[in-house]
Amino acid sequence: MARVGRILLRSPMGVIGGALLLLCLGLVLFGPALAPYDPTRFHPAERLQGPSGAFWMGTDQFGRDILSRVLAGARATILFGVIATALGTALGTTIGLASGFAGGRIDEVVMRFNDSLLAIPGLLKALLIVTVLGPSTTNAMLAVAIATAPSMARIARSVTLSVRARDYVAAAIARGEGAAFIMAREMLPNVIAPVIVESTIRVAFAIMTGATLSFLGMGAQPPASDWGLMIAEARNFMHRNPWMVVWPGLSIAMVAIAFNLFGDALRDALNPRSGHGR
Amino acid sequence: MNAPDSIEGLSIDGLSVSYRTARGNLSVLRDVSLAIAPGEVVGLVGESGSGKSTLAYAIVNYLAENARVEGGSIRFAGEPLLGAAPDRLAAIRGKLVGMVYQDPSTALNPALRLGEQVAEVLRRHEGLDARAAAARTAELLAMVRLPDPRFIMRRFPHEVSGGEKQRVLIAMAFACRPRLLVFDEPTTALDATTAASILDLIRALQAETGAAVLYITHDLGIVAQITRRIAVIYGGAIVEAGETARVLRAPRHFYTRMLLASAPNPFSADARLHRRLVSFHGLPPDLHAPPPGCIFAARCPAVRDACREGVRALDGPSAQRSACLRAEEAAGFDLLAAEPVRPAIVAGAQAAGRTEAPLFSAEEVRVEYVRHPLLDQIMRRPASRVSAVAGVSFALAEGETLGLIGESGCGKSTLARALVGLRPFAGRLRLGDLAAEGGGAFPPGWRRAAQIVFQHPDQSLNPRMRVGEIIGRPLRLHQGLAGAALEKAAAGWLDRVRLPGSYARRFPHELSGGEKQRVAIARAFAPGPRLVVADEVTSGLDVSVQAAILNLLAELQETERTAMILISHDLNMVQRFADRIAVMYLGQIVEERRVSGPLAPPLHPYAEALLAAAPVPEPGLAARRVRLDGALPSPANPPPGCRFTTRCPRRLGDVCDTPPPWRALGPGHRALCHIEPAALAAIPPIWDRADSGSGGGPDKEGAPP
Repeated sequence: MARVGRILLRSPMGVIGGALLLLCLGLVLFGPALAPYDPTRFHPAERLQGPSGAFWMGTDQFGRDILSRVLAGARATILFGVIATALGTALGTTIGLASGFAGGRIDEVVMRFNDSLLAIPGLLKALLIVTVLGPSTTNAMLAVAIATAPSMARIARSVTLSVRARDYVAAAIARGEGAAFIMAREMLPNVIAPVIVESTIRVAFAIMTGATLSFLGMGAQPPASDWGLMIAEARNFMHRNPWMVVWPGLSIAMVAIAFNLFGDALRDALNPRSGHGR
Repeated sequence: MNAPDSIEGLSIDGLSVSYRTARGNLSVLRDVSLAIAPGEVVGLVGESGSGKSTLAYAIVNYLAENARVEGGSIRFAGEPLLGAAPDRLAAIRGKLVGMVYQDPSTALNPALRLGEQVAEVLRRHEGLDARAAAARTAELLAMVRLPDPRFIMRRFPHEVSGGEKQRVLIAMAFACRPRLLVFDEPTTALDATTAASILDLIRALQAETGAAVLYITHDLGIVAQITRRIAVIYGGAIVEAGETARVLRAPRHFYTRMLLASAPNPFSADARLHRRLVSFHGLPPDLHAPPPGCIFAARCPAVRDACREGVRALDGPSAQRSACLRAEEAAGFDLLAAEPVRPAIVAGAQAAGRTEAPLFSAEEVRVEYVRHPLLDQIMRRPASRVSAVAGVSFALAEGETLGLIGESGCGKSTLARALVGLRPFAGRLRLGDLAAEGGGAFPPGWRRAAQIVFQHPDQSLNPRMRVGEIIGRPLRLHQGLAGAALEKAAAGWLDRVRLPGSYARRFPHELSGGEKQRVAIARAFAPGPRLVVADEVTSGLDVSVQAAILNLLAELQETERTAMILISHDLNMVQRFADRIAVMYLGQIVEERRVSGPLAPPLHPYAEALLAAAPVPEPGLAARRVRLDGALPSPANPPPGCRFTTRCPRRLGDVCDTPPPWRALGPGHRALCHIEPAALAAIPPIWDRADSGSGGGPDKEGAPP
């Protein structure tokens, strides 16, 4: 682990991604507390203003402070991405690991079904699910998690197949270990690294899908200060005050870039062939 | 050596090479001198990490980028090879020096036809046009005894066998009639019978062309066969050099002596070596900081204080020079006196205590690999079936060891996996009072009673588990141990495989190859099995590590009275460690016999070929030449009748196309063959004392010049 950390710190991508991630963490922890105004308070006299000394990012159609809303929304938005991805990864890894371990007909059936799910675009899948479950932040999170699972299952299964062929798994079977032990203790620790890398990149997808769902009215409901919802609400006022879209949009982009950079750097660092040249 | 300052041939003088690594300077070669006269074959013997391959690459001026020549020179016919100008270097590599590498599967370009790859060399170095190059390529391929050169030229590398690939590479090396050839372990990746014919070829071509040859290997048996002079390298320094026969008969360095003693030699007479080998202690030196004095001092059983001081240079008459301070004592030193005392390890001691009722039996075991893709199922096409194990029966008594021997593709590993429940099979297995029927589930208890040790410890130990958990797991599973009792038991097993208790907290990658294999052995023996299958457990390890691993296996097996199936391709090793031998060919056992002393006729014709191909590190022994033609038939479509008949040098005729009967050749000795027992018994012995003058070695072609 120390080796991975060292390699991460040596790559510029890792350093920038890591710094941005720290910023995100700060926003999750302290964002709402840093907001200069109450994010839901109306300032009717100062509607649709550009950035100024009083309102650094301007105000929206009700005169709410955009900076306060961006800060207040950080926690919900980032947590949404992380939790949805974590759920989706857990679900997908379980399916991929079990299917790859079982092999044969079971694997064949599960993976063909999985492939057919992969054929549907992620956003459409999330939309379908949230339509069934009903619009709410929690349901949107579940929808994104389920939408993420098939691609995670694919990755987990392909790694599982190579680990499955290893002699230490054969040794465990020959010794009479149960399937649960073999999957959880012998295989999972050797499968998890590439899955984690992929999941960090998926966080950005989850945030954007969540934002899109909110934008379409299927996720967070007004007056929540969710970044996607903010963009959705700004739609009609975009021409009079573009800042309403720019700030939450930039925030989403920042989080997406942070996870992407970090994920790429993590992939390089976890590759045993990287690191010390001979 | 014979003529160190001769202007002819290759002369390496005081060569020192180091690699710059993250941990500093790695001194891989120190003050190495070696001379090879034209027409001479010199062997360079060493283990991995000894610097032997670095020396090979230095000769062709192809050292790794982080390598630095610290001093010395390499000259051929007086011309310096090191630091040659780039244009001259290209000519040197192709025309003056040829090289053949260890692994033929990686030395050829998979995307080019074999003919193009040979012709490329000719066009570049000989300036031939396409037509002339093709004609010459065909000649060259015929020269390396490939039966149909024009056919081979149109093949891609994956379409021919490993032996054929190595022949093509040898043809490339000889293409421009080089005056020096470097062979870096050219037969290590090949099967024994294939390796034997490649060695024949190298000898014959060398005699025809009169090239100087440097033959690099770890195998003293090969060296005994094809070289007249050898140099033994250890830790980057040549420790002994001289005439092969002298060095092998009476080594003057303790490293050479131990290397010889640690290789299983069926002709060694010491009864104390029954099921034991002399083993090396300690680890090879850290070449980041080579120790002062003798490089072997740390592992030498006869080390004295004086050995650790000053630099030891080669010394003595040119016929046999040694860097050892106690060179005179090396040959006669009792190495076994320095071994940990193991009482009751005398030939026959265990045989006496053995009950003869079989503990384990396998009846008509068959394993098939079936491929039946969905499309074929829909189209109602039959499944493709490869019968990897085609009806194998044998039995084993408690404490007995069966050596299962055969070449790659004979089904021995598949059989091993079937026995421990890793492969579906047909047939019947019995172990004690447990019985397993093919197709059915294994009875509870089987998975405790039958254990397996795999070939590659890198793959058989989970990289994310600590050693303590790896060994503790079977104890928890089968003996219900937990907590402190489990830790204590695991520590006990670490101790029994002679690893320090602190290793329990280590991960496998923090262990050396031999240490990892010890962990795998402990894991197999920990649940108290009655049968252990050891599948090529030493083939990934260095000679000096092998001996200790085999000793450990034998010792655990004797104290636990476990039945053991020792699977290997190394006939010498199996002869030393097994009570009985079963020879497998193409999914069948073709011969089964007891072992007492070196194997001798009567033999199944395949066993005869295997035995003749096994190099024995015994000077003055000449093997009768038995070589197999053709390739191993595909197990998907085996010959009807006798499976060996397509390659059998003793084929009788049409009768061999019918299934052969089992022939009783003696007590506990039978062969699956049409040849009458009397005729099999009349086969002359394989090995012959060449120096006793009794003749019988028809091997004229390859006799050293």
